[in-house]
Amino acid sequence: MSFIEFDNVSYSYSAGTKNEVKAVKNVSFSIEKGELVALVGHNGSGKSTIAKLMNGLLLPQSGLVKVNGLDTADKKNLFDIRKSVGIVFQNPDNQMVATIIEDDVAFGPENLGLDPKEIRERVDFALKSVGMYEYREDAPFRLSGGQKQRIAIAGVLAICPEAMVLDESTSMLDPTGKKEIMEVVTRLNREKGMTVIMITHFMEEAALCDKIIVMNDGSVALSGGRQTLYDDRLVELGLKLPMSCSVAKRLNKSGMNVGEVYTPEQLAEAICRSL
Amino acid sequence: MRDVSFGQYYPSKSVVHRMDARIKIIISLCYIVLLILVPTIDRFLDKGRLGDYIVSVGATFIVIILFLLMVTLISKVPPLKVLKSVKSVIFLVIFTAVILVLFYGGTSNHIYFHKGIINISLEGIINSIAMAIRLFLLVMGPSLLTLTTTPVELTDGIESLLKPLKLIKVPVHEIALIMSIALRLIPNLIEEADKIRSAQKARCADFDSGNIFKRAKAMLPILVPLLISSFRRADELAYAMDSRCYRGAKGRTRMKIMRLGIRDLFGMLFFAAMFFVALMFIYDFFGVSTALANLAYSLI
Ligand SMILES: Nc1ncnc2c1ncn2[C@@H]1O[C@H](COP(=O)(O)OP(=O)(O)O)[C@@H](O)[C@H]1O
Ligand SMILES: [Mg+2]
Repeated sequence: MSFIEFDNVSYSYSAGTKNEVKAVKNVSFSIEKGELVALVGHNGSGKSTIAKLMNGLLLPQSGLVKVNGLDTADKKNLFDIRKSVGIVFQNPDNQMVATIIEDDVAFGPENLGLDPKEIRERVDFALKSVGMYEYREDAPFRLSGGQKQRIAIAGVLAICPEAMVLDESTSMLDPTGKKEIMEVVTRLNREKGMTVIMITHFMEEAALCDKIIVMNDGSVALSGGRQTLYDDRLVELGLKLPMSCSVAKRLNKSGMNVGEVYTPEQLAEAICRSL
Repeated sequence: MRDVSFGQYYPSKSVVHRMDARIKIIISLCYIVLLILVPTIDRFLDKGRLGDYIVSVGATFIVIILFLLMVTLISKVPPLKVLKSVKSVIFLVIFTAVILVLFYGGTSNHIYFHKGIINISLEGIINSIAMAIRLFLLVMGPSLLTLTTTPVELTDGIESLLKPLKLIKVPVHEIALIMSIALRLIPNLIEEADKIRSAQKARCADFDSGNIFKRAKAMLPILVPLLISSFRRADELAYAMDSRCYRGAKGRTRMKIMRLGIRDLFGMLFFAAMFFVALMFIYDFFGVSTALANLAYSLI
């Protein structure tokens, strides 16, 4: 049994009406505990829909979604499923409930019905994990986008989920903000063993993940380990490769063998070695 | 923008700020009741002298003003901020006062001018001054509450106070949550309105000229996108809340528990003392007002 299982899942918006949009079509995949997974694809390829299917915000019209073996279609399971899979959305402004940062982070654990002392501990822990502890008594609107998004991540962390889905959570951020978030997320994955699902169309981020699922027009077009980035079909789908991958690919083609590299540092090293 | 999002909260760590929001809300309500209890001149003149009225009501006002002044000083809020809170009602008050002076219809023994329904008298003038002071005090008290209490504390306090209504199925928790989310979203809405406004301006929309109707009409292209984006925002917020295990009030606990402390007791006692002294002047307990008035008459 995998941690998160999608079994032939389909979902349409406004199903049964003239405006029906088939957002997800017969999708199957599974994610194991502790994996760092990238879910990539063009706008409108169904990534956000998949994210919402993962913890029962949306329910599949056909097929099954299971988290820890619990079916999301069963209402009784939803609370437990949401305790183990949290989602950080794209726009940090639309995820905050409270006017004070620590109150906002407390929202999740408060919903779990924990006692005040434990909530406090979790809030402090979550804020420290994302490096925003000193700001706990401030109002969120004075923060930068990256800081706000870190608060949103803390809000999910405080629930202590097993998996965190980040739905294009870095797309509205500047390069520094993007880097901040990626650092926090990879650290959580490495040190705390948290399963992380990064939804992104920024391939540099996908290159940092262990596993890549590529969506196209509602279906899974490709999936596999990091080497998927060297699959020629990715280019055919019109996705832009990370700079280091595309350079390495061309070097390989022109006879200078640098192998498969995923970061600029690795690329530089490989080039030095082959010279 | 900062002002709006925090209401008019003035941050400080004073005793008044740290008092339990529930106690502050109850005190504010009692304060309003007290102001309502201050009599108008009609009720008084049937049995007493004009001087008795001035002394009784005047003394009451002085007690209340002293109370406000002390709270302001203890809370370290700049007194000017408290005074400024009456700015929004100043026209209403002046208007009411003028009407009250012109059309005073009660008992009047000192008439200055009388024609048709217009009747200017000493009693009318005193009555309208008393009314104006009453309205100003009515605004200043509660604004002291919002100056010293954050919106979150206020909504939490209201939620806690209204808890008994849950027995008759009033969705108290939901109402409080709606209030706090509304407060949270106000700065975002303003920011967004600004953005849309600039976008429309860039396309030569004109918001700043023409009469009020023209300007209101020019705002329409701002309101429609704002409304649509608010709906989208609300939708996303609902997903985010569901995703964070929100199930309504059921099984929900709070991180910050409101606990009554010694300062709340002192605050209450302080207010109760003021309340009692004010009532004493209003209702002439122990004949204090009459005695004071007699003293005043004998001096004149
Ligand atoms: N609330 C909705 N109502 C109707 N159609 C929607 C809604 N949300 C998304 N869609 C449509 O579903 C498809 C997949 O959207 P989405 O899952 O958001 O893709 P992605 O996150 O990859 O950009 C798109 O064609 C989009 O237009
Ligand atoms: Mg999306």
